[in-house]
Amino acid sequence: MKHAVDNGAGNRNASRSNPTARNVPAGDVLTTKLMEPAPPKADPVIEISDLRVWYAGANGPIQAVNGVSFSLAPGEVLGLVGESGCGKSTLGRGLLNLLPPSAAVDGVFNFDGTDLLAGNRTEWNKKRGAGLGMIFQEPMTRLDPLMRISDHFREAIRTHEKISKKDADLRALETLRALGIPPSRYKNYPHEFSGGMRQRIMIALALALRPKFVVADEPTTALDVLVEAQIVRILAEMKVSFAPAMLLITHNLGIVAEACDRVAVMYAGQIVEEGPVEQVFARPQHPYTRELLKSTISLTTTELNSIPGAPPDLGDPPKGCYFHPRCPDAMAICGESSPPEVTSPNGSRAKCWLGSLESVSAAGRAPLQRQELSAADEA
Amino acid sequence: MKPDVMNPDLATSQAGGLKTQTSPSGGGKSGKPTEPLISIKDLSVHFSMQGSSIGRLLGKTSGAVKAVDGINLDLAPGEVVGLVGESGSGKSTLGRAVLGLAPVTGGSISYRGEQINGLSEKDMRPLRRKLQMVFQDPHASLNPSMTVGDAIGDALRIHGMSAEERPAAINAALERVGLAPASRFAPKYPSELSGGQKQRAVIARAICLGPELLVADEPISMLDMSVRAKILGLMDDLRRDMGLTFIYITHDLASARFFCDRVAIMYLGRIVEIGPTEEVFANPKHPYTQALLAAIPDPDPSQKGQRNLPRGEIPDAAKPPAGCAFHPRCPMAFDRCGWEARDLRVILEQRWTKVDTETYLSESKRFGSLGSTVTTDSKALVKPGHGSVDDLVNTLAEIREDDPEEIFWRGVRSVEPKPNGVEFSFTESSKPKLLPIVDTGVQVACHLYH
Ligand SMILES: Nc1ncnc2c1ncn2[C@@H]1O[C@H](COP(=O)(O)OP(=O)(O)OP(=O)(O)O)[C@@H](O)[C@H]1O
Ligand SMILES: Nc1ncnc2c1ncn2[C@@H]1O[C@H](COP(=O)(O)OP(=O)(O)O)[C@@H](O)[C@H]1O
Ligand code: SF4
Ligand code: SF4
Ligand SMILES: [Mg+2]
Ligand SMILES: [Mg+2]
Repeated sequence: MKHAVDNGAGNRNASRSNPTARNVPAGDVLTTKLMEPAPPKADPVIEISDLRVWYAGANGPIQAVNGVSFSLAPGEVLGLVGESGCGKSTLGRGLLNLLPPSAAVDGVFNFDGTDLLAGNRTEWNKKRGAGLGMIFQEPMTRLDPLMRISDHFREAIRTHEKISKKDADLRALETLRALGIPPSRYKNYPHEFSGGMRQRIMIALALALRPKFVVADEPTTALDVLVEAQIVRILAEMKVSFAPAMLLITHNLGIVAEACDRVAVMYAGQIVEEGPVEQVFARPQHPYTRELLKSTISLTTTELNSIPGAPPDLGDPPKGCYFHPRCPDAMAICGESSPPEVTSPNGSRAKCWLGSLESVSAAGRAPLQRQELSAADEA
Repeated sequence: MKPDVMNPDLATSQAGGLKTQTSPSGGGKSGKPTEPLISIKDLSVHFSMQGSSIGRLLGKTSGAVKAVDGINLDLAPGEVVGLVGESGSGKSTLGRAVLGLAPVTGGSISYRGEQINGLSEKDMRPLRRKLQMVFQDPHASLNPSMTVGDAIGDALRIHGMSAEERPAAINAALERVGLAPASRFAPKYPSELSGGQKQRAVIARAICLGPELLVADEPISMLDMSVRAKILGLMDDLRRDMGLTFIYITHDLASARFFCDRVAIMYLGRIVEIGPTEEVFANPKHPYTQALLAAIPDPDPSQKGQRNLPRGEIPDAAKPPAGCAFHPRCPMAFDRCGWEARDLRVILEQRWTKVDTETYLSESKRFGSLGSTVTTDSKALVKPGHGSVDDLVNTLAEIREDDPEEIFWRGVRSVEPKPNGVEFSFTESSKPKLLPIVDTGVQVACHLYH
């Protein structure tokens, strides 16, 4: 009986093609999903809970990350999207302890069984590179123009591991080749490479240390369409070859669809929706996700849509749901109290009152009177 | 601000044109032929690399960068033409040349039948109010020490508007681009505006004199994704309300598809395909156009799949490939597409990222420095490294046998041992010309079609 239900569900939804489920028989995944509303993942590499980051602002603290929680299994890729200024880079850098001294971080960050936020921060910095990797947007500003590529690798590898130059070279060459950089170019200088090659070198540099978790902050934004597609393919292949868990920050929803298992949508410092990419893109639960998807210009766009207004000032966010001044679905309660996070049976979660309407009074459900927003208020 | 206030002569000449323009077939092509607003003939912009310190640093000691190399393009009044391609394909240079901002080294540009390239700055000035530009980076386009109102006022003053008339014109321009109420935005400095607001201010400055042509160079690519649709929507309104003609420069095919009547796909200074937007997107003909379209990541996860991506990147414009400039990356290339010695290096390097270390080491040592192959038009001499010429011949034969499908070999007529190396001779090649394909309205520069 239960078996029949499993098969039916498996045929209907897309979880068979979900890359995270690839190595697990589909039936098992579905059974777990049916029994457990929010399936706990086996041995996550990182577990973040209630992470908060503040910057010192001129008019008091700016809360750039506000109670973010998620975990990643080995090899799992989480896409992080949201408008500019919503805290994506702050979150990514915060996880690597790369924030400026004016920033304060609080919460729990379990990596490899230890809470890096609890201990002293030198422990954290030691993990960076070897355990925690970072791929930046502009490779040229990260590569020393006077150092050969070989020296970049030797230095990076030997700072973290006691191995010979020869072994470091072998490791470097193996990684570079996996990313399509010819070994014959190992002794070249950064300026002798094209933009796309430099980005591959940066990725190789991060991967040569075999990190378990990598943050990639808009790794393809500066690249051309075709080269971007090549890098996205490499990121997707990385899941098989090197399998680090990854937080991939991007503005490009197409890249999320192409390279990520799950997606987190960030608004005003909070993750407002998170779940499997197929789920979230096909059936967004949060109005912000829905509007963001609608405002993206794609090849099938015949009519332009946009979200009126701009994200709030994080030094003084609005009361209630942070999205309520711009939300087409806003109700009276949205301007008063912060919505609870609701996890749906398929494993995606959203922070919106629409997910728990049964607990809202009739008055609370009344449409919210909103001020007119114009271009004048846009981002 | 009504169109006739903005631009009296345009409004009269455009009254009929505007209607056809909104039809999907695109402006200016249906009905009786209109005189082009802008006509570009055999245009070349070659930058000499001699003496440039950047050139020396990058090892380009001589020669010229053919940023724009023989381009023909007419723009009908009210038409939106997209220039699409990767960076370095010459889009910006072409756009700038139309406004007299890049040095024309050959061919001509005409505005309403009058040649405008080579005009003195004095003669060009009255035209500047008709031909305007919007750049990619709104921040860099605005003077940080000037309020938005002053920036627009300055443009009006340069073109002779009296101080009394200016405030009304500034307000009208600001409100036209959505910076309303103008009284709130005119006194703002650029640093007080968001990216989207800055780009609106830049557009206000560009339209305040009632131009006919707007060259918009990647106007939305530096903006946040949620703002792009707003600015593209604004430009679409301007085109409709003011009858503006656009050259829309972008590497983003999706926005080009939405906004343009025609698109020209550029590669290394040349147009490789041009035609009505719908036709080019529905039936892309040039392998480069096909590749660009296939490369767009699809936001629909159910479409996830293996795509055929061309290898490599856009080459250095100072040393363009022989024959068809796209041949080193083209999956359809064949014998006469322009194969040459340096392509050997590329396929060898590519191979060496795939074979095991042993094979790489044993193969690579057979080759002398790969950079120093001696080349003539159709022959190349590859020098041996460790080992004899015969060893090199054998290694080459093994490599070819290992991957006989590699398209490079299609262009290789013979591989012969010579006393000091291995001589390759390649099939004679030619540059494909941009020629029409019957019944499509599309022109393509590719040997597959002609
Ligand atoms: N060093 C800093 N000091 C003070 N505030 C900062 C600092 N860095 C970022 N912020 C603020 O923190 C918020 C989040 O910024 P963050 O760079 O993380 O956003 P983002 O989502 O990465 O944006 P983008 O998409 O533009 O990269 C913004 O309001 C920003 O102004
Ligand atoms: N002022 C200049 N001097 C020398 N080379 C230039 C100059 N401007 C552009 N180029 C070169 O011309 C080619 C085309 O550039 P550009 O028109 O900016 O292309 P796109 O806008 O398509 O990216 C590139 O190789 C570029 O380096
Ligand atoms: S909680 Fe209310 S305002 Fe917020 S997203 Fe949901 S419906 Fe919109
Ligand atoms: S001519 Fe056509 S087939 Fe040949 S390389 Fe160029 S694009 Fe490819
Ligand atoms: Mg960022
Ligand atoms: Mg450009």
